Amino acid sequence: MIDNVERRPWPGYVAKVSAVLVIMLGAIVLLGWIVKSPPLIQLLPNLPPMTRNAALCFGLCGIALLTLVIDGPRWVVCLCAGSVAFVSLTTIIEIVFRVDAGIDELLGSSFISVNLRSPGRMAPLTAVCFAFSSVALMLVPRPFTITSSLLVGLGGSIVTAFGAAAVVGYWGGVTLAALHTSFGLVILGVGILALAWRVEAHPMPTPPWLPLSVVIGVLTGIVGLWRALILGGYAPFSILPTVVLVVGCVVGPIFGLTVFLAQRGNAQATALRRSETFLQEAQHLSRTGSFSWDLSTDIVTFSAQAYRIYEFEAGPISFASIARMTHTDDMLLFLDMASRGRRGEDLDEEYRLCMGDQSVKHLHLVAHQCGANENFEYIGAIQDITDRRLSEEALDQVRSELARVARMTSLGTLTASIAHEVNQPLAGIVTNAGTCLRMLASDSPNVEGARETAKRTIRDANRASEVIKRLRALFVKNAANNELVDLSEATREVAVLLSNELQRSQVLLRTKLADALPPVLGDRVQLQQVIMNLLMNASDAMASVNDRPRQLVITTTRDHDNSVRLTVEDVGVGFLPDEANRLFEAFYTTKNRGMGIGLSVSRSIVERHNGRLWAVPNSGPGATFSFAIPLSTESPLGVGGGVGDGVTRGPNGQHAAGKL
Amino acid sequence: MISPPLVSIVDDDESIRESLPDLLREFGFAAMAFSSAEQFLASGLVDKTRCLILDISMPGMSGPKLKRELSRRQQDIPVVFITATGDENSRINEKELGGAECLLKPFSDVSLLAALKAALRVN
Repeated sequence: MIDNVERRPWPGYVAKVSAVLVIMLGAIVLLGWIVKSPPLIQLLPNLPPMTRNAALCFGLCGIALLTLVIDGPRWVVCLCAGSVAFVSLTTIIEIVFRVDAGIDELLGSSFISVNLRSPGRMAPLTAVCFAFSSVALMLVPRPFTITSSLLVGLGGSIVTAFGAAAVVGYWGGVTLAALHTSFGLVILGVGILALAWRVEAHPMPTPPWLPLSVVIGVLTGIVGLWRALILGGYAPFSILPTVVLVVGCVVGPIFGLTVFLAQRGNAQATALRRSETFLQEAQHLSRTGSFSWDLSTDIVTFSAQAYRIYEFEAGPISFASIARMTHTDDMLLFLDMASRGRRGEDLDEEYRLCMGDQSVKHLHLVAHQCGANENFEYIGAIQDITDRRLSEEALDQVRSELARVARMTSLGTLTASIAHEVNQPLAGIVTNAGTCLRMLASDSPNVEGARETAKRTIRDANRASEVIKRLRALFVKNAANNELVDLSEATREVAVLLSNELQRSQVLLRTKLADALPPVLGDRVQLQQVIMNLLMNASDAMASVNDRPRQLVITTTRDHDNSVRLTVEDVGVGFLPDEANRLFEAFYTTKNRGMGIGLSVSRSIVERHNGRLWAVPNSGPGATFSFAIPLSTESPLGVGGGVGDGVTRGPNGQHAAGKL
Repeated sequence: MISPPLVSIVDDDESIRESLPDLLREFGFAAMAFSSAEQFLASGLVDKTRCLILDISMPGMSGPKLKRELSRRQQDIPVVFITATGDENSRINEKELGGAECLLKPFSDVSLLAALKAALRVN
């Protein structure tokens, strides 16, 4: 409560004005006493004068009040208010105990004694008011708290009420205080009340003591009036004083209740305003506007942010004006969305706006139906997702550019790779042929040597032709066959085909092939190419292994996720974990003679079968390559599906790569 | 009789290892072929070799690495690089690297002889 205190400006002004008026009043009256000018002291000859003490007290109270309002030094307040408290309390003691403490004529003897019981003594009411005022002024703490402002406010109300009662009392001639004293007290009371009003703590916009203070103030005033009437000669329970008392007792609480209700309404309104502000700020920050759409009248109500998004001027919006803003390409979508809305369906759509300056905004609209029967309306939100869309588009562009560059780089690598493969045997051919010519051209032709070089020429030419054949096998676009393939059986066939080759490489092949493996749908020859490639890779990886058996294990199993898996495990040179992804890049090779195409093409074949191919290094020596193909009744191979494109990754490519 | 100068060939490709020595002997050199840089360094023929025909990309120690290794040992044998990969640009790079001639496979016997003569003349 103490922190977060806000000060409203206007009570400060009121308090300042009050303080200045009161100081002036005190100063003028004191001046009157000094220059012995009765009109200044008592206004009219038959009225009681304002005593010097009262004038002094006004001055001091005014100074204390002013000091508080301008946040002046604390000691000034204590000094002034303390003096007033001393004077007023002493006077009260004098009145109550009928003694003379000698304080009345402290500032000189009184030469006017109209209606004064003892010369120079303040009227009882005046003394009481000054006592309340001074205590209230001294109570004003820094910083303000609600409790202290309650007490200060109470003091102010009482002083105001007493002053007002005294003013009213003149008509009955019952007031002992001077007329300007009474007015001065009203002003002083208002000033102190205003001081209490300055405090405003969250979340209460007005002080909670106010209604009570009003009740007490009114009641005090009424009691004062009632008392004045009695002093004026009415019997205590005669009609007029009784009516005044009863009416006052009813009106006081009604006033208090009214103030309370007004306060509560104000608090609610403030809370509502705050929440509205929060909402608007949140809408602004998230670029989300809200709307409602009354289907019976077709009138759309927008939030401020929605106006900003649509760049509409404030004012009523019709459905047609919104439809006009929609981008031409999205018009059908928008109208379809609207018609679904009229049927009462929930909406969640993205569409575009075409703004006045031809710029395009991307919007995301979510809406649902509220209310019942024919009288329903839509409540919804529209979010401006232009920035997100634009960055996504930019990202896509970069991605496709990257893919293009990657393809071109691959093509360059492919050319170099092919050139290397073909140039090697060509170099042999040219050298052999040159040697052959030289051998034959010498004086004593070396026919035997020439024959040898010619043989080598033929062998190298065959080698070159092999390279070309291999390339064609890799790159030719075969029409893919769809048939049911038993992977175990297909693997057995490959194993038989390769048995000689593996024996020559001193590789021990162990097969763990599952019986009754459910068949997968696909191209048998392509899948066998993949198996052969994996086996040959494993064999090559073990070519340099001499310290352990070159063991190769090939396994087929059915996986839990309804796919069939084939695993090839070797004990070869293996690869580093960070090489795992590159293995499948076209033209990446760890072999001296490889072209680095096999694994890339294998992966592309497997992905065409909706499967995935991956590799992990073994914990021991070697690596394990696996592929899994889902059991699916749908044909995985589309029209023209072949092995031609070794670079393109299937939709699962990212997933498979992430697995590695 | 003066023995013919020894030209050593280091290439991982078997076709070259088989065909080049015969051609070099036709040119009048003595020739030895090695399948790797390591094999050549271990052969004990490094001192006797007058010229080295060196494949650039080989498993293990590459051609340029072998040349640097020989320079480090202060056995500066003239080198003729041969390569099956690469184009004009990378050929220039190799010249910058070692100052040696570089032949792209397949190369003619005439260009090989010219390169050998040039390499031997420099030293």
